[in-house]
Amino acid sequence: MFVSSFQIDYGTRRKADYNAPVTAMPQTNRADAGPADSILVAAALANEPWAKEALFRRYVTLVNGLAFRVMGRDADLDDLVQDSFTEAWRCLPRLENPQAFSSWISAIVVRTAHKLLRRRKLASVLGLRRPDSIDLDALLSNSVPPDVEVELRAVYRTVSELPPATRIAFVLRRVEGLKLEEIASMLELSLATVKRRIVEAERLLSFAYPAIADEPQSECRETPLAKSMQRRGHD
Amino acid sequence: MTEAKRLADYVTPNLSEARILAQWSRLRDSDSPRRTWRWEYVFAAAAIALMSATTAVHFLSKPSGLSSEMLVERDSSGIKYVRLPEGVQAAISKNGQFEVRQRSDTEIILALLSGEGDFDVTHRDGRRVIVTTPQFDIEVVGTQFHVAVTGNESTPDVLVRVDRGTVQVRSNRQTGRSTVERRVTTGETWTSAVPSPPVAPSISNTNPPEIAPSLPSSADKGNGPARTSAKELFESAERLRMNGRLRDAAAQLDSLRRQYPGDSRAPLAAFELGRIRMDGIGDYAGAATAFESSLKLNPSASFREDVEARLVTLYDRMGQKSACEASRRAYLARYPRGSHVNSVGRACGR
Repeated sequence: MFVSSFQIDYGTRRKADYNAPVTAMPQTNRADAGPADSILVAAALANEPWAKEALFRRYVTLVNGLAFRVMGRDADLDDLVQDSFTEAWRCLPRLENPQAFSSWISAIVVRTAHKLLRRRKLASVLGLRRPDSIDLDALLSNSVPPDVEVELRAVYRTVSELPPATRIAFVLRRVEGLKLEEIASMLELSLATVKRRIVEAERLLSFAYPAIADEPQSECRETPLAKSMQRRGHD
Repeated sequence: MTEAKRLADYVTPNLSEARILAQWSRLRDSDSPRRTWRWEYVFAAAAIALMSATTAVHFLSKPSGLSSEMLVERDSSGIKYVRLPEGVQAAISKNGQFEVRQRSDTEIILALLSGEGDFDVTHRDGRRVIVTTPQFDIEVVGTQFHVAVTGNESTPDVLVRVDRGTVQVRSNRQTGRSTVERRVTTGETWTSAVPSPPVAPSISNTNPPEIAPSLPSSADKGNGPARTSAKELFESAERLRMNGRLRDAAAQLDSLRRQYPGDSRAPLAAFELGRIRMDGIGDYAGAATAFESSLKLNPSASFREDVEARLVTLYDRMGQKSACEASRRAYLARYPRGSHVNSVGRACGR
């Protein structure tokens, strides 16, 4: 029933102008600004093109942001976004909890990025491709505070030297701030493996940037950034 | 968690509406994931296949019995060990100046310019191994021997001690004394110095065999390295040949072509040397080397046609079909109406 009414709401427009520019769709990226994810997923499964577009619109910022932070560069973004959504449409029938579309598509982005990084690594080892470099100036926002910038630069310099799986786990932990369990689920690894990889990355970080290093095992860690945030809060 | 979320907030892509539109357009128009990455695998597989093929070709294309790899090692005492895959080993003293001047299937020339060296040469039919020193050439065929070059640079003394087998020592340039031609066999020592110096111990053996120095034979007494001109060498070779001393004549001609490559007689000497080796001694490999040397020394010599015809006949006798065919084609192309067309035309099993 929800689907039916939703079809009337958006579907009419889609039937009238199937190839209309995307701007004709409601501009929203927030899950609470329209139909629930489960409704959009159900509509997409019913081969309603507008539902896919609605899902795309809703999560395009999340997917681009996550892909950008994991890859560390803008050049791969469009391809990665396309591959991730294509994979999502293909696997949509297997999505058991449509309401968890957000974390599900995030996991797809992470795994797609992981595949891409592994292929790049292989191509680099075979001499078919030069290793990708991370342009830190292009990566960081203009509004980043100096102390945050110091930490982010240290993190991404470390990231560029890590193997793909470790790199992704470290970014998800350090930059995205995900829990270890979430990272393990996204990468389809055991919790112990994720911990080991993050420890490995933190060790490298602490070796190169002792002031930035963190205790990876601690869930209630207090990073230099957190300390500066607290200071700013107190001020 | 909170601060980490803030970190992510500072790492965001430039996501304009136009870019989102473009991304959606691409996604809408594509029914399946991009497969361009498969080309990377194709390229990777092609690269691996190419590397494998190159490696295989590298190993398979090596001529039999002749590898290009020469091993050179130096031990803690400074002795340099040189090992050629053709079955030649040398241990050169710390102060020794050594170089490999020529390596081919038919001839290997090693040069010991100073210092001492122990040599061990495995005999192979049709191959000559020569150790050349500033004044003497030591030609070996399957032997183990010691060479020492001592004294000053202008008149160095050479000592040869043979541990196993036989070597032929002969002068290789003007020395101011008559030509030396001497065979040294197992246990013998020969030296160009008068009186002879004490025997140098083997540098590569901790317990070298005790060999008493053998003084030069009566024939060699008083004979030091000779300063023989190219003309004298050539005339001497002619005399020796007329007297039936073909090997001695060949040695003279060989010395001439080596020591005086710029002399006008050198190409002819090389040709004559090849003829003697081919017809008189039966040293086909040596003859081939001499003929080829003759062609190199003067490519426009008046007897070039004879040299090329000889080479065809020689390769035919040696059973080297490919070399025979190649030289036959070269002759017939260069001399389609040559005086050896008939014999050359029948060569190479035709």
